[in-house]
Amino acid sequence: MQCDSARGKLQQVLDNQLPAEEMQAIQLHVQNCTMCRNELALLCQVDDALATFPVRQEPAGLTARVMDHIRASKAAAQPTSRLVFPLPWQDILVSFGGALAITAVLLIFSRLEQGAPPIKLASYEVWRIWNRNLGRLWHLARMEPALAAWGVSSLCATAASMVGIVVSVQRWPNRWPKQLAILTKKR
Amino acid sequence: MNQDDRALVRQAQRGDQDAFALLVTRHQRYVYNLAYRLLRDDDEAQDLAQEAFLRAWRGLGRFRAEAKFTTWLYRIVTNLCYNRLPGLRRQLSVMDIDHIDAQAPLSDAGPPAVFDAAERQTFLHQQIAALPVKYQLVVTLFYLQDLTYQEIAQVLDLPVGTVKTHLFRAREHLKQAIQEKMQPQTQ
Repeated sequence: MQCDSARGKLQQVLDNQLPAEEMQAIQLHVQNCTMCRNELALLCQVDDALATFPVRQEPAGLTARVMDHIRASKAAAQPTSRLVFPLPWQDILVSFGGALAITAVLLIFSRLEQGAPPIKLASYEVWRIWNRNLGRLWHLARMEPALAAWGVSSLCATAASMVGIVVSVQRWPNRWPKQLAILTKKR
Repeated sequence: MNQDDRALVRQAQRGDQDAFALLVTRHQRYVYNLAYRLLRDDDEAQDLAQEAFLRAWRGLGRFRAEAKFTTWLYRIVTNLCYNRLPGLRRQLSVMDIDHIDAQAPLSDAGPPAVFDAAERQTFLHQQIAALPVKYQLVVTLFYLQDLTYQEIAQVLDLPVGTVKTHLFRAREHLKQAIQEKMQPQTQ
């Protein structure tokens, strides 16, 4: 082993961070190399100084002050619920918005099976939803109750799933990609 | 998290203030020292330690047992420090090239022979106290709080490689300081 290679890994040797074989190779080199041995001795001194750096005594009565604050603060009388609910309304809005989009796509594809052209059908659905009043929607639901029931139930199910995702991201952020943190970002 | 911490956290999550008081007593020294080493002001460190524990109490409901309590607690402390030391988070994330020359020439002078051990220790402790805050943070978490690279990475929300680099540079900084200190004596 060369000095350059060994020297770059001396700190990892101190931290016990190398595989056993590599550790042995470096130790063997250090035994036979004065300069690397001195380098390791220096690092050992630094390591020792860091490990023995004096710890300050904590201020007297810190625990008592913390507990006094906790008792005095009515908001802190109890730790917050283990569940993250209630979610901020924006999170619920985002969830339902996403659910609506997913439901619309599912609706279009379900109608595709019946042979309707997708673009025409999509514009028809959008027109039906946005340009008619609630009474017309109610009429639609009465005329096609199965479709309405399916639409409402899938909307609720998808929204529930998305709320579940949001809650899950909040509770176990490390298990989700970082990009999803936007769902739980404080607004 | 050791078993005692785990049990105390569970009790505190159910609203047991005495259990939380025990947790505060157990960890106050490390929380205070971490805050002190970063802020370098006794009053501010006390204030921050107190605030960290209050936040921990309020957020205890969201703490999950699979995490280590200390890792979670130190994360609260460092987040509070980020608020008080604007720029610290950026300094930690940015791997800037500082003046440390990691490939300084090796010396074959035996360092322990020319430098009294006690004097060397005192000198190194002075140098540690004067380390830049970003190094101080990583060094304190590693040596005082006894966290692993991975745990430090979790606390600081940084890649493990960045943590290793900061630790490496902190030691290099100290090593070079002691080498410079020794030079006049060896000449």
